[in-house]
Amino acid sequence: MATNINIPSLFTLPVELIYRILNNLDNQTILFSFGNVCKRFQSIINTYNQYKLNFQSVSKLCFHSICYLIHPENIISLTLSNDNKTPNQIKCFFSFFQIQQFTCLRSLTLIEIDENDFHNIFPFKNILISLSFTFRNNILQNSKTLQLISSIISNNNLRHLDFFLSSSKIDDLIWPNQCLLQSLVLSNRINFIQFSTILSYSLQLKKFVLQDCIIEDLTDIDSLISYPQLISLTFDDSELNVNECELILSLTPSLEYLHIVGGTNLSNGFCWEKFIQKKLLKLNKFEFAFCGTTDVRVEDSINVESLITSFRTPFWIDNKHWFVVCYYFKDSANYSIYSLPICKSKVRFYPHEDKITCSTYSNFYNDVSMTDNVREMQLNLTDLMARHNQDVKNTSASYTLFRKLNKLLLFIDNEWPIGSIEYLSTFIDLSYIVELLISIDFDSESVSNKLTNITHLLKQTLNLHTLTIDSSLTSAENICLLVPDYIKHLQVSVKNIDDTKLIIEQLKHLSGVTFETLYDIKCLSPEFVTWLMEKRNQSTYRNENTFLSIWF
Amino acid sequence: MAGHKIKLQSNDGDIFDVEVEIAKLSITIKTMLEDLSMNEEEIIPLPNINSAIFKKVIQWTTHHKDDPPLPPEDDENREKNTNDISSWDQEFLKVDQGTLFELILAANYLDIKGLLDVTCTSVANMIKGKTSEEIRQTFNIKNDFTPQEEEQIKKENEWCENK
Repeated sequence: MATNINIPSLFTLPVELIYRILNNLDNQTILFSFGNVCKRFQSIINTYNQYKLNFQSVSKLCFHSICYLIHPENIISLTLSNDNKTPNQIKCFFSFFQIQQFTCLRSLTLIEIDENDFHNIFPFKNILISLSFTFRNNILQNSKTLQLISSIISNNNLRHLDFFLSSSKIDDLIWPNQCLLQSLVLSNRINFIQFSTILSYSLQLKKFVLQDCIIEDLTDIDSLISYPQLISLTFDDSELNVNECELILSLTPSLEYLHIVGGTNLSNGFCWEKFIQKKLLKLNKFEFAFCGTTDVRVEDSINVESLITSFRTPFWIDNKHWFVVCYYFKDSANYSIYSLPICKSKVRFYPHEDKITCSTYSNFYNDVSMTDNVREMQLNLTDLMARHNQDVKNTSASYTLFRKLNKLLLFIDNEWPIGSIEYLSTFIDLSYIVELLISIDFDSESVSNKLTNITHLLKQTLNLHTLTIDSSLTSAENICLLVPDYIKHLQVSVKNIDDTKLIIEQLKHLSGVTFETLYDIKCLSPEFVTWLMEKRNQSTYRNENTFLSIWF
Repeated sequence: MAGHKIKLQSNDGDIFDVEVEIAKLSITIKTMLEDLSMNEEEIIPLPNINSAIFKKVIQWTTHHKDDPPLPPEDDENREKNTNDISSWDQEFLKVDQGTLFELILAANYLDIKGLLDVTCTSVANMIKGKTSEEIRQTFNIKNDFTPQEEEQIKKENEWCENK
């Protein structure tokens, strides 16, 4: 239907090239815009078989429309979530489809799945290459669930697995004696016996990510064992000391990538240099975040500099090109040493004036990429501004810019600090934030000022998707005035059922809302449920532990 | 053999002397030279590409000749599609639509994955955020749905209007 068939155009492009273009588009654009351009494109989106569906944060109406339009055999990757934004989504999805229909599914992510649904889905485990799951509330009651997980792990096709179990359950999980996993992410601490068992039975395992490995008795470790298959190891929240760390790493001589956050007394660069040169000869990427405390309080950068002297040797700088930054916190005498770029995704931010910064990387302040891995920041705005105001001249000092933060947690103690939003924007790219939590007290005297400031902040966070107002005294009327129409999910406290109704009625653009109910709502009244279904007839809700989540 | 050249002929007869290492970024040409034992003195015809487009292809491959090899296109890497285009490529792709789609066809024929990726991403970026009608206007495509089909589409897209 293009005007001239001889001139190459989108319309005349061969289908396999259109598929390539579709690989770069999101599902909603493909299904609801591209597919409705003309009959040829409609036919193409029905045969396109590389759909990667992620239903986190989607509205219920959009979810229904996609389920109606999509052919399950064209889906290669699927993410379903029962979290507060989309309560009961997994059950809802499998009321549309039988899992057996997903004949090309290679990757499946199930967030907060109910145990029963997990059992219903997993006769179908055979074709998956990648699987990720967490259980709702981490409570397992079915005695066969661990057995089922063991059987899933032993599957011949499965290469990538990511899951979390409560610590008592992970200890009881029997690792199958043959598994072909190449990467394993366990958001758990596991004991050394479990760690050794997993590596002994997983001979193809190249990448292993876990919170920590707990060693109860160093004499248990057989120095003759070795796991040369492993090339990447991550401890995300470790308490290992130097001896424990060296013992574990002695068992993994082929490591090319090592990531450790936490640990005890691990911040000596000389020790690491010696150990790496002796035991980890293939290591080419070493990411870490270590912390410690100085015996006496340090007041100047010369003394802080001494904390990173051991990272200034030719081994670190010239040979490996591994650089570090040290933040020293004057009040507490604590310090953190990070490899660069900073590898920690969640950080707590302290006032610039409270800390001394030193780095082995001369361009640290100018290289904005150094903080690109930091995605979540927690900060107390009152503290931040109290320190900042002590020396206003420092505003022009160069600060590290956080340009890829997508979640910000702001705590305000009393009044909203004057000038704080402008100050925040000097070191955070606010336009990148998609999730914002504001913890604040709305006392009657300054409520107007606080609302004005929050509105001012929201004007700078135009990509915000999820807003949580953590306050017990907010009126529903104020919340309705505050929340702009680009917010899709809201979490807020409510004092009574009328406030709940008002927010549902007024904020029609929301795809989900979570109410922290400060009134008795153990059992939702039939009148309220009837009212909800009249107002938003497609909605699904979950009422649990004083939280009422509704998905519209 | 840095600097060694081969001759490539576009479909409108122009002959281009191109460094072997640059030409070999095209898997099609690399295969001709290696598997089919083509002599480097022979003129290799490229029947699907005109000289204007081939000049652009040479410009792109010359700029990207030292890029690290792209990862294999397996399931894991397909997940990592990004729509970022380097500033040089953005400047390079400031062309009319006809040229852009000819570049896609040429990259596909010559099997130059990097050029194919960046041109397809560029088209995807032109589609992103647009309604069906805006896509029709942008790419000059006629709406061939019947009124009844339009009505059905409208029903299926109901959620978009409630956004």
